[in-house]
Amino acid sequence: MNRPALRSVAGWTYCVLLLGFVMVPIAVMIPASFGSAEVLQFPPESFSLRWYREVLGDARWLDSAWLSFRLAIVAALLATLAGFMVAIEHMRFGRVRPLMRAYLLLPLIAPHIVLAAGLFSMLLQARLLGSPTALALAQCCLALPLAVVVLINAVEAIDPLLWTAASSLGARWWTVLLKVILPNLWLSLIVAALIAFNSAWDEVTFAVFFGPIQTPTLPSKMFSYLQELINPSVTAIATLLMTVTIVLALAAASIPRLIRRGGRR
Amino acid sequence: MRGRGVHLVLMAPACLFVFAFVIAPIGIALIDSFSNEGTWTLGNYVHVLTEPPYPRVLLNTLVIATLTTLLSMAVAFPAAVFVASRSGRAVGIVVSLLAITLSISVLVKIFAWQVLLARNGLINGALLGAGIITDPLLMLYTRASVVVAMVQIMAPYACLLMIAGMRRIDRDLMTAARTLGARSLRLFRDVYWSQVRFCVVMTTLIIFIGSSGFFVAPALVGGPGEIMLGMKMQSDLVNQYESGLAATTGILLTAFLLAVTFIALRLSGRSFRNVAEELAR
Repeated sequence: MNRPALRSVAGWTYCVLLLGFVMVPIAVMIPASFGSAEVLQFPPESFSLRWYREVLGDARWLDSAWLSFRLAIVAALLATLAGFMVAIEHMRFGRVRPLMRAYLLLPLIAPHIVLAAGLFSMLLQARLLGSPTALALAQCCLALPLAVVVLINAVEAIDPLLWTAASSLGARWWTVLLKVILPNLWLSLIVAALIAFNSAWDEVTFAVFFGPIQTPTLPSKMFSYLQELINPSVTAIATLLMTVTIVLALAAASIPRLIRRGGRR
Repeated sequence: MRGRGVHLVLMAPACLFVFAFVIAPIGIALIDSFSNEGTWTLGNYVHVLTEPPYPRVLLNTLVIATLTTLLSMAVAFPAAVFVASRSGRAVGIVVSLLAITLSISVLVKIFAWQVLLARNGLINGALLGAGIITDPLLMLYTRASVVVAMVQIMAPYACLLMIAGMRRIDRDLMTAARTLGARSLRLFRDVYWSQVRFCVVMTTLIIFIGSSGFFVAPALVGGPGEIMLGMKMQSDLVNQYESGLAATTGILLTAFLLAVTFIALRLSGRSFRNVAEELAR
């Protein structure tokens, strides 16, 4: 084999090894969740849906899942709306300045444990510790930079003259938004909302520090389970959680392709 | 739709969110860290820097975050260099597999390591079954298990960030330098490294910030000797409502990370303004 070909083989082999290291440990859990024995086995001796039945029949897990779902919906909608407004400012009134954008990216960079500690004492004083609303708003703030980045990139692909053209033809701003901007942007809004939903749905640190305690969010409940014991029922939860995340992530990833195809048509 | 009012209305929600949940908590933590029962004092800082277990916890955090960062970069760098230099379908597949791994909950990843590494876990089971060992190995709840789990979580980030940065470099410059007779070392140092330096340094910084603030991994796969800041803060707050000490450790961590950021910016050879622009892309 010549040198470039050898280098290519070595490179791809390395990539496969790396992917194996980051993916295989997770994949191992899926067959384990279909086992039937009291202890974890891989590969399981016999397959069953025992742990899924146990988890899906347990009202406490379902309550947690329902709470997580509602919180993530609120966080996703608010983050997308706020991000949309920033994107409109960016499109209509010229670039959002770099310093402002860096400010809006802070929730992504600042260590969450520091924010969680500060928020803990704020909420303690306001007697709002464990409030689902406070947690939803805090998780919305963590999701905000993701929505902002997605939507600013999306409006940059729209011709800014569209707005000028529409308004010079006499359209008022709400008509422009509804008839011109939204048809161009709605897929990106869905992407932003999906990514924001995922980020809130999986958020652990805030939920553990100051989230609801009686009915914790799903990640928070799973966290306290994992601190104590390794029970095969958790493999079922983890597999379900992972499936939801992967489906949403795939949906979010395939929409830009849809947009590009739509643009070509 | 004109005037300053509109700008204000459009930007206000996003700005308020960041203010309420990032700036305000850090401000409150700063005040908390300098006060004790209503008086201004440096007592919290003295306590955190001298009374056990805090110095130990700070050191643990530093060591584990550094190890995680170095290993993640070492694992991800070759893959990023290679993938960034290729094009075609395979690149897309590698990048999307990495992105999918990223989207999976940290808890699920940590749990997977618990399943694999536990005393009665899968690895011990396999080794015992094959007769390679007679007693189960102690793998979970060690420093190594914390670092391995954190590297698994951080390596995809490092890889994707570097691939994104490295794809932007000018390949023609390399070819030009080679045709002009530059040797490999020179080519790497003057042409390649000078172009990728910024993205490598920034990735290292982001991974380091992420690792030092990590809460879940050390809490779930670390032993009592591997306590990191996040866990100590959580137990101070949730179990003892001791917000002063948690705030102090938080402020120390923030100050330390700001210093590290400053040094990293110097190393990367760019100004803050430049970086803000880069980040915003």
